[in-house]
Amino acid sequence: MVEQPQAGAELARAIAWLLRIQALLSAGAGLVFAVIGGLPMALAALAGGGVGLFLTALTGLRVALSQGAEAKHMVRTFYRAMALKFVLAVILFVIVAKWFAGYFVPVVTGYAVTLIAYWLAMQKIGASAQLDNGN
Amino acid sequence: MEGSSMELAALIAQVQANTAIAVGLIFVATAVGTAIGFALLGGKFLEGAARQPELAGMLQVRMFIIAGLLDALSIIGVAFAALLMFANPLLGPIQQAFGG
Repeated sequence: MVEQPQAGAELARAIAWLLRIQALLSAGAGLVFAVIGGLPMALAALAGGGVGLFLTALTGLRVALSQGAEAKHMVRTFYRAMALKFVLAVILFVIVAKWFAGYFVPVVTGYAVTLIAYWLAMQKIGASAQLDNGN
Repeated sequence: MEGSSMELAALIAQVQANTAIAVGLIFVATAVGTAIGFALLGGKFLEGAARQPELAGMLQVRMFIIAGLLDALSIIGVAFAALLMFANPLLGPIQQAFGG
């Protein structure tokens, strides 16, 4: 278990990077919708992006707290964090659906845009793994 | 006038009933898909951690990122279900057609 502090730092770095990219992407979506449909659409897109950002931050925090524990404890914490994420997603989207009923496309687009960050993170990890292997 | 309002009520009830079925199907599909995905993910993580315990932390980072992608479609499905339940856009045209 010598590698644990390094793995903890890697997880913290990954979460911080994800949150940064998600914030940038949702700000970009907000800008695009501001140009297309004005302030209400921009706010709706930012609300969708904010939901994605909040859910990632909360799940990341909960998962990070289980670092260094046994594998079964990590999995248990992970499943609990994901369950919490789903419940919060339902609550937040109900609230957003009521507030931005007429602007639901920007909300979903704002949320979907934040998911690009996960694809980018996977690409980044794949690239760094290739570098480690000397390819 | 009474017949018209009855017709409107019947149409709204029909749309709401079909919406309720659609919302139920969305929840079932998202639950089944995510459950299978998370079960595989957790199982593989435990397998990997049992083989090489020193890599558990690194595997956790990858599991976290893949989980974010795995539940993405489910959460988008849930978002649409929330829209259909609480601000159903399908009722608008019916109410407009009846001048409501």
